[in-house]
Order: sequence, then C-alpha cells, then structure tokens
Amino acid sequence: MKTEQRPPRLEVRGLTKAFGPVIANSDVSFAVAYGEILCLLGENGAGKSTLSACIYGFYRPDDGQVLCDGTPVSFTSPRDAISHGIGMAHQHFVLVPTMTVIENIVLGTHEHGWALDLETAAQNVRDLCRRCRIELDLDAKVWQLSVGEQQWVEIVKVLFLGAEILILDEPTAVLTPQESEKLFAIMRKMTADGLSIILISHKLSEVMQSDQVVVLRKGKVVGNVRTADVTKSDLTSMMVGRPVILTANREKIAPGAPVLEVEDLNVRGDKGQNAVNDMSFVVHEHEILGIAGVSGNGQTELFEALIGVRPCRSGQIRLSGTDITLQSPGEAISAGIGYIPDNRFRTGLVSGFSVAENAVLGLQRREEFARIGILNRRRILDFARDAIDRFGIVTPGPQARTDTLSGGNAQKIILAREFWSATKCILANQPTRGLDVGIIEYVHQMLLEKRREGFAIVLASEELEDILALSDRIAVVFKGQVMGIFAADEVDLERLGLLMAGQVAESAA
Amino acid sequence: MTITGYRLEKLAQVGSFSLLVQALVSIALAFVASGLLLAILGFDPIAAFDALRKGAFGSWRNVQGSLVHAAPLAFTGLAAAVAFRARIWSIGQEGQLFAGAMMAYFFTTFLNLPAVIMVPLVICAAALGGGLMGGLAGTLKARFNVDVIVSTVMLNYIIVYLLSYLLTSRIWMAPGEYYLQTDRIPRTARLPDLWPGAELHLGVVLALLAVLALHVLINRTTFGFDLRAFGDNAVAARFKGVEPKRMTVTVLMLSGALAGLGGVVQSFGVDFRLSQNFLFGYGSAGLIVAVIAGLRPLSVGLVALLFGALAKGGLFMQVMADVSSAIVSAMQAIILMFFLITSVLFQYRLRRLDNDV
Repeated sequence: MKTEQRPPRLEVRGLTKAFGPVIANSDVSFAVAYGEILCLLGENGAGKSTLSACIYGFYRPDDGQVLCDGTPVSFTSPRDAISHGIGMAHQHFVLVPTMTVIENIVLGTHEHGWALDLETAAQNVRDLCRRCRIELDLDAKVWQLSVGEQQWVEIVKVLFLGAEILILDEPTAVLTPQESEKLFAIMRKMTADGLSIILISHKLSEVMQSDQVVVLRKGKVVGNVRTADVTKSDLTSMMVGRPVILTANREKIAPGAPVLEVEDLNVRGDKGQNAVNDMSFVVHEHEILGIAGVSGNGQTELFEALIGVRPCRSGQIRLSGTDITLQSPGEAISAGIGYIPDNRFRTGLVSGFSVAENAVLGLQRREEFARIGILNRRRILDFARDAIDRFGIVTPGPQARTDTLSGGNAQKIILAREFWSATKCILANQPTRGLDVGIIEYVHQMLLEKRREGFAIVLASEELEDILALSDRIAVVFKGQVMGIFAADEVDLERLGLLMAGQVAESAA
Repeated sequence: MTITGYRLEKLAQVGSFSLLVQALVSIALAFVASGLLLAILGFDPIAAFDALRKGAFGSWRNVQGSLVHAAPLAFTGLAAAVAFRARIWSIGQEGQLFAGAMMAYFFTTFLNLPAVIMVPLVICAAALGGGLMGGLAGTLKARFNVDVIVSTVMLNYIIVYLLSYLLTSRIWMAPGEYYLQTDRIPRTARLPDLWPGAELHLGVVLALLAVLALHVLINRTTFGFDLRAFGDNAVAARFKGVEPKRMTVTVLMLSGALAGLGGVVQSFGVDFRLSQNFLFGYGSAGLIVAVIAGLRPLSVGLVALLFGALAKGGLFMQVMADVSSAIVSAMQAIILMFFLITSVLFQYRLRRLDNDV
C-alpha cells in the first residue's frame, strides 16, 4: 500500500433501488470510517429503511456498490452480511417473547451446531455485556422485560453475531431520555473500540451526537455534512426542503368547567396485569392534559377504558358530570368523545374500506348518513370530499381504498372523523407517531384549535417536546400510576424524564 | 423479477373488470382441461360439450331447468358469502340446508292448511331451521369460543344423522316404504309453479329476490357496513361500536337462514320429499360458488346460474353422450382450481421497461 490512509470501513457508491415505479433510493453514496457514528436522517418514505436493508443484505440493490474496507461485496442475505461484519438491530423487535434473553440471543447463530451449549454462549454474552457496560438479566423471559430492555437484547444479539458495523433503526423510539443517554454513552464506548455505527433517526437531538449526517429526501442524498458544522435547523430545512417552525403558539386561555373526571381508575391489561393503577385526574374545557410516559406504561389501556373498549375494574369516569364508567364504545362516541388511537391501521381504520367509508366509521348510523338503516351514499361521499378538502388528504378520491394512503394521510382521515363527531372531549394517543414534520406541525395546530373551541383534550406522547409545547398541565405516568401532575411551566425536560423512569418527585404534591 | 424488457409488478388493487376477465379465463381453461379429461376417458369432448350446451340452453324448457338447478346453489352461495364477508369461516351450509328442509317438513306432518298459508309457513320454517343451526354455531363461538369451522362441520354430521334416524326409525317414513325417504309432501305445501306446466317455481323467484336483497343489505345498509367493517378489521370495528359476539351470532343466523331457504327451495320445489341423500353436495358447491363470485351477492347469482346450467346440462350429457354426470362435479372443482390459480396471476401485471430505466 502506497498510502497510510485506511479505506473507509463501509462505503456505498451510487446505490439505486426501485420497487416498480417507486424509486426508493437513487444514486446514494456515502462512507463510514472506523469508529464513526453516521446518521441517516430523513422523513418517512425518504428511503432510510430501504437503504439500510440494502446494506445489511435484506434487499439487493438494482444498481451501485457496497464496499467493505475498499473491497466490493454483494450480499444475498442478512446472514451473508453478518459474515462481513454488518448487522442490523431492528426497530420492530424480532424477539420470541416466551424464550429467555440468552435463548433469543443464541437463536439464529449456527456456531453451536446441533448441541445447544447455552453455558458457553451465556459466558460469551456476559463478557460482551461487561465490555459494553450493558446490564441485562440473561435468564429473564423476553416478555418480562420493558420495551427499553428489549432494545438492549436486540443490540446485544447483533453484537454477539459478530457485527462490527452496527445499523440501528430508530433505537431510542421506545427509550426514556435517560435510557437514550445511556445508549449513546455505550455507542461512544463501542466506537472507541473501533466499531462503526449507522444510526437511523429523525430526532434531531440524537442526530447532533453523531459524527456525520447523511440527509435523504425522496430517495436522494440532499446533504452529507460533518455534524459539527451544522445546526438543528439547518438539518430540518434540508430534510423537509423548506424552513419549519415547530414552536407551537399556545395562547393563554383560562380553563373552564371540568369535562372529563377520572377517579381511582383501575384497569387490567391484556396479560392480566394492573395496567392502570388508581389513576385520578380532571381535564377542563379549554385545557390540554399531557400524559408523559414511555409507551407501555398504561396509556393505551387508560384510553381504551375511557372509550369503553376495555372494562374498568374499579373507579369512576365522568363526562360533564355524567357517570360513563360502564359505557360501550358506541355510547362513548354518542357521548361526544373523540379518540385518535396510537395504532391507526389496527384500531382506527378499516384498511379495505374506501376513504369515505372510513371517514364515517362509527358514525354511519347518524341521521346525516343513514335513514331507516339505509346508507345515504351521496351524503357520505360529500362528507368525505369536504374532509379531503379541509384536511388536505392526498388521495385519488373518496372512493380510493384506504390502505393505498400514506400514514399521514390515513391519520388525517381519523382526525377529520373524530373532530367532526366529538363534541366535548378528544383523546389523542401518540397522534403524531411516525408522521413527517410537516404533518406533525398540522396535528399540533388542530389540537390547539380544538382547545380554543373549548374541548377538553388528553394527549399522550413520547415526544416530551410536544408535551411541553402543547399541554397546559402534564401528568407523568409510570407502570400505570400517575407520578404527579404539574403545570407545564413548572417542569422541565429533565425532571419529566426522571419521573418517566419511575423516580418519585420529591416535590410532587 | 425481470424478463428481458419486461417486469412483473404487483397491483395495489384488482379492478372488477379484471375479476370478470379472470372468471371467464378460468372457465375457459376449465373447459379445456375437462375436455382433455374426457378425451383421456375415450369420449369425444366436442360432442359431449355440445350435449352439455343443449341440455343447459337447448330449449326454453332446458333454460328453465338450469334456473331451477341454480336456485338452491344461489342460496348456499349467498349463505357462504355473507359469513365469509364477515371473516367467519362457516362451512355449515349443508347441515343448515338439511335443517331448513327438515323444519319445513316437520310442519307439514301435523298441519294441513290451504296453500296461501302453508307455502309462506314452510318458507319461514326453513329460514328458522337453518337460522337456528347457524345461531347455535354462533352462540358456541360467542359464549365458549368454539372454532366455527369445527362446530359447523360437527353440526353438519349431527343434522344429517338426525334425518337418517327419523327415516330409519320410521318416524318420518311410511310403513311399507322401501327407500330411505319420506312420504311425498302434500300439494298445498309445495312451492307452486309460476304458471301451469312451468318448470320454474316460486323458489327461483325467491333466489332472485335473495340475491338482490343481499346485495342491498351488504352494500347499502348500516348493518352491511358493520358486517364489512367487522370482516376487514374486527378490532377497529369494535372500537367503533360493533359488538363482536353479537355480530358473529347475527351473521351466522343470517347465513343459516339463507342455507335453510335453499333446502326448502330444493325439497319443496323439486323433490317433493326428503330423502337420505337428495340434498348432498349443495353445501360444498355453495362454497365454490361464493369463492368464485368473490363473495359478492350479484356475482353469486351469476355463478350459481353457471353451475346450475352445468348441472342441468350434465344430466343431458349423461343421456346423450353416455358421459357420467360426475364429470360435472369434476368440472366445478376444476373451475375453482383455475380460479384460485388465476387469482394469484391477476394480482400482477407485466410492464414494458422504459429504455432509460
């Protein structure tokens, strides 16, 4: 070798991947050095996931090259990629819940041959964890772990397979701020040992901790910068293609009469656990109550109990003074409660239905849309057309099937429907999860608009910035309990983070 | 996957015109395949199919016969379609068909009133009999979470053996009767012919009405909306007020009632008696009809017509070309096979690649 300079650990040259007419990646090039954290930044559909799938061997690129240490490589499967040291930790975990941590980690490694030598494997994994300072109970069953812990398992699994180039897909989506910090500390430790990391994220605070940022928009690289040289707003503008203002303008309005009152509510989760534990709170007119908490701490069960889908074990729910504890979902809709669910395609929409049918889902018996049991299709279509106009839903028309819509446009159908039918109270569970910056901005504005109109709003979100920007008061939940309710201007991000992790606030009263 | 210059693409949505083409293609392919089958068996396929055509459409009388054969298939087809639209995998149509015919017959054993009363009565009784059978499977599902496939299959056996018992124990069989069959149904209880000497009887009209009614029910009513929502995404439907247990019981009762009507249409419109095995096969044929029709009521009517014509023509073919009418059952199955194969193929389209890609 003439030159002392090492070739990059991993290089991508002119990578192109298309699915039918849709070009997911077009002529993407970048390089990761040894011991470097590279961040892939972009909105939904910008091509981040496809790009990483091409790198770790899940897809084969249509064109272009992947080079390891300067040598072109071509993978036919993820197993192939891992033999070159490239491993992927998934955003949606692919763990077997009924098996132990160590079994999950060893699963898929073929080195043990026929006999499963868990002892040796466990020792190796333990060493690995010690080196990286990851605390993990190897004998626990995966279902017993918190979502954050499962994320560690996913990462250790990839490291155990021998990954030296680690691809992390939105690893902090399910972590508390403190856990995220810990993850970044560990990532720093790993890169100091020479590992390279490709981080996929859209959270700007994390992106700023990387060494290099590759910004993707519509499948193309629109920016490749050293992180030290740019600001957050530079990156947002690159990502969206225009400047974005995310600071919500929450005007001062005095709250009115209490609308939704929850008293000593107890609700069981799917596994029979006490998912909601003696929760009490009140939401008034013109008020947004933020529910801060890592998802899986009882938010979904709380919301489902409030709309009558899940039975309450004890406690009382009142809407404008009327006891609605034992209502059915249909009654909740009639009572004027709107619900924006966290999993829109599972609980909010019927994917085989047309946009118009979904726009009136649950409202089809209202006299506006049906008489003596016969649907008034003209009225339903008119309603849908109006919703498409007002909410800017991008669709071929009201008759198009809903599963052809993007997540953001699908969410707008739900917003149109729930905002139309709700008369008193809106429950929003992670309403902006997985949405693009532009649409998040829009959802926030809609919620503030409803607040102005006098609705009582409960908003659960993992994005603490959103909670802080939108809420009048904030209830922090941990393991189904309310850790404290604070006026939004009394708390800061750090304090909320500690409470979300279960640390009792000394001054919560 | 690319063939030089072309690429296979998966379609997001299959259009209804494409479905019609698909149905026609699979029917054509099925004729080719069963023609081969006939040739292998040593028959002249052309002559056999010609006999089939004559038998089905050769004269106005034969056309009427095809319609009469189609009527019970339309009912069992609708019964399967309505359950499957709700993603409830009921295969109890055969038992419900028997139950409908048996309930109707039960009323004729002790009542003998004028036709004006008897005919509506036996029709309602059949719907009731089939509906109760379906409701039973639905209740087992709702209360005890018994798998619908299992319960409906088991109930099919129970009801068929119940008829067997009623016949062999001579409760429903006249003394001195040799075959396992009931007495002939009294004239006042039979479904009347549409005009003197006609093949067409009231049951064919009922079938047509049922097809139209189900089309309206599924596509135009709030109940149909709930049913389709429940079938596509039961979780979202529950969040929006569709109670899953009630929906399961209701759908299975409706499905059972339709199959039960099929039973009365065949036994009170054509056979005029119940026998051990006269009604066999209508249930499974109904499943095939429903699947090929894409679970759409109007299409169920059309496919039932096709299968009715095949059945009617098959009888004629047996006489004229000496081909066993069992070939007709084979043809029905072959059509289904080709339909299932082409339904995968029709989800794709071949696209010519542009030069610059």
